[in-house]
Amino acid sequence: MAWAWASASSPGIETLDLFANLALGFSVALSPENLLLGFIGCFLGTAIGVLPGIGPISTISLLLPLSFVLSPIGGLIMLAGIYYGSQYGGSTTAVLVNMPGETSAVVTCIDGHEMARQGRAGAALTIAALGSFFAGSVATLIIAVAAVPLAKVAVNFGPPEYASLMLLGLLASIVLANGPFFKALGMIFLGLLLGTIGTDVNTGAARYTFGFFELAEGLNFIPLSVGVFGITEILANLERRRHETTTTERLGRLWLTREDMRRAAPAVARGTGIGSLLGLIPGGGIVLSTFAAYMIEKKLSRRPDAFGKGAIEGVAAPESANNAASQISFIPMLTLGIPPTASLAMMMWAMTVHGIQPGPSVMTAKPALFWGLIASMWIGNVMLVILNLPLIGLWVKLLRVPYRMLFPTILLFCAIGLYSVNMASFDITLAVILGLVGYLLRRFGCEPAPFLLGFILGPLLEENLRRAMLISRGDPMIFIERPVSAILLALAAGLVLLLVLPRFRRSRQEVFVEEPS
Amino acid sequence: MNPKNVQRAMTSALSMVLLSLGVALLPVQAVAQDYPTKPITLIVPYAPGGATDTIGRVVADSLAKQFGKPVIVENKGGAASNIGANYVAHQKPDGYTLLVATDPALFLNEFVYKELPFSPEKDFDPVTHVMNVHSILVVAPSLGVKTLEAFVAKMKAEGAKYNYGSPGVGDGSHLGMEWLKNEAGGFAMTHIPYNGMGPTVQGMLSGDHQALIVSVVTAKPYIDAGNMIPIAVSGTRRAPGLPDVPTFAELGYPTIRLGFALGLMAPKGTPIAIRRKIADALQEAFKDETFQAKYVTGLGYEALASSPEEFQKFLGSARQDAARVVKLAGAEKQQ
Repeated sequence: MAWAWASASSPGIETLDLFANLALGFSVALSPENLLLGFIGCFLGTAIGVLPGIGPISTISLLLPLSFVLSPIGGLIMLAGIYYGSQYGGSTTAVLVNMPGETSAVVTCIDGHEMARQGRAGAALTIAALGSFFAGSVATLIIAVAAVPLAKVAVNFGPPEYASLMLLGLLASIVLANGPFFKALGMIFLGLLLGTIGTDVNTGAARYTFGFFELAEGLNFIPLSVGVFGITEILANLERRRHETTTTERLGRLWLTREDMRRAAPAVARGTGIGSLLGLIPGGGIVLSTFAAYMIEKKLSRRPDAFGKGAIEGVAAPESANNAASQISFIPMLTLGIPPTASLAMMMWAMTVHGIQPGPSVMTAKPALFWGLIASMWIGNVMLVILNLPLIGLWVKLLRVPYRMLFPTILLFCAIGLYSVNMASFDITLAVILGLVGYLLRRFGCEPAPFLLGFILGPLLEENLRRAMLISRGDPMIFIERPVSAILLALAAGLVLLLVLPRFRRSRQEVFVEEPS
Repeated sequence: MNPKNVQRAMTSALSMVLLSLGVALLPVQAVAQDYPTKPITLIVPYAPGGATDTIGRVVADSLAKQFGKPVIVENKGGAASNIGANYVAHQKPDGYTLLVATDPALFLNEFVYKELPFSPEKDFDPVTHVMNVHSILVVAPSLGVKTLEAFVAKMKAEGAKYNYGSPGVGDGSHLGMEWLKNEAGGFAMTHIPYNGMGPTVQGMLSGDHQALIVSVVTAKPYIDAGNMIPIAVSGTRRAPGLPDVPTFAELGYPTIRLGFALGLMAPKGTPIAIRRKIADALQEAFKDETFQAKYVTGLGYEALASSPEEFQKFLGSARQDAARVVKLAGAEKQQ
């Protein structure tokens, strides 16, 4: 996708201005008040990221009224800290108990939890923190240098481009998932099917809701992920523990080995690049970047068999990608006023109440706020590493807690988190049912990752496909006439060709296999 | 019968009636006088973070200050307010559980949904019309029009070539545009529904559609940057920061109501004295200077805090408009 970098390489900002602006930003962000608020945000973000089910959205909404009392920049720094702090924290539960705190941590579960079971939870968490720090620093620099030209890229991404990208994403997951090929395919389709539940965007008609108002907006991701990942994992663990002694209680060393570093460093760099690119695309860009980073790592690796069995690259790449992407996603918000995620939509609202309109004029009208926020992001990343590295020892010790005490605690926190989303017991019931379904599927050797990918990408594909056709008045040429869409479709066609070529079939690699067979 | 006996019988009957009335009224009055004796819960029928949620929290803060009792906001989101509304409809009518309702819960859903497990009209008592949040019609610069007259003329001539966006089927933005289409004598423009206002705005910036009805607060930065051309605003006065943009009423469309109303609704049977007390408290709170500066002059909200009776009257006429407009938009009994 050279088009993105072509516009990035010609930033309209003079170098001198950049340094002056960054100096201004750091002078704002380093004031004692703002430093403290940043720390509070990062700390809260880490805490809620670690608690399964409780996401940044509910936390930010609870703290919104408080932020109105603070100075605009102080409030924003705190809310931003919660936002990216939760990205750090979310990987902790993914690694320790195989439960993604957010959509962006789904991929981290695959190899991260496997590493934990081999007694390398410390190494997995350390690389997640260091990779995130590197990615966050690079992303901050990109925002500072090229926010405005990059924002144009986000605007030019219309319905045909989205539809083609989602198609490419789904095809890539089918082609690259070899292992039990038809099982992976079946799981993707199951995800697509469940993704159709809810109100049809084009007609407003209710689909597969069976009269439940609770399903009108589709299945919520939180009960789905807590059920299919968390509860399924607990059921499987309880069963496993009857037959064998577990390995997760082995502690192992916390720090990385030289070999770990050698493997992880390029994965972190590539993950950062992919995250920086896909983070520009509002809606789905962050999640897609983690899957893309994982697949590319596996494709490039000399030992693809190790993936799914605790490969450190499988943690380093998606963790770097999601942090880069979530930080880059500030670009569409700050420069265009388009919030790519629900959490950022809330931060935008906070700015509005302070009388600041996010949009094209923020950079020139409120330079202290704009650059202060950017500088605070980097400072926040430093704080998160300082905060998280010593905590890793503590988290890993949690694994020593006997499982018979640990699993009721996890279930309790899940239930609290699920209930807090809508204050409804419906979500808890749903998670339990999905957990049982997930357990059955697991017994038949089907993995949840392709299922979730189908569930997340399917609705985006359908929505944008139909919107593009509405705009073209039913003419499918719109997908070929727009250059970016045409390129994405050509890539998708190439993937289909690879799928049918027998030579490639032999060398195709397993992307989604999580369990050593 | 002896007239004296008749008189006595009548007197005793009257006093019985009065007594029983008094017995019935006394505890209510006592309850209303003491109200509130415990925390009040406001149910916001949307997920945290949206406009309704934020205004709901402002209302909660205002009431808490006036009453000196905690006011808790609980989010019960989903199904365009129906989950939260259904919950409140089945709570005790004691004034301690109130619904923060906007257009869908107030008068739209009964026409949009095939069946509801409650009646928005019969299962609620109105408390107060808190405020109106106004909207603006904006068009893409590529359309080359700057006035409502030119916009309508162009759409009547070649409207089939153009699209308008909305954050969803049956949303106020969608219904408003269909209302305008009808009032202006009809023109063809294709509706492109999105999933929320964020993607809708992005769609306009990337040229997917050329016209949109959106809240003034959301549109302002794009208008300032020249990415959207303001045509007309709803409401009785011009929007803050946009003194040159006329209202629909000024341009000869006095009946069009865009944007949304936000009010408090109580379960059916909530005493009128309690409802009045809440409305009066909010009326008092809205006099606060920082509130006025931030929300009225700053964001352009029309703060009302009307009496329960005024709110009832407003709902009656809004319901009639809703029935007509939902039909126009083809969103009737879809969901």
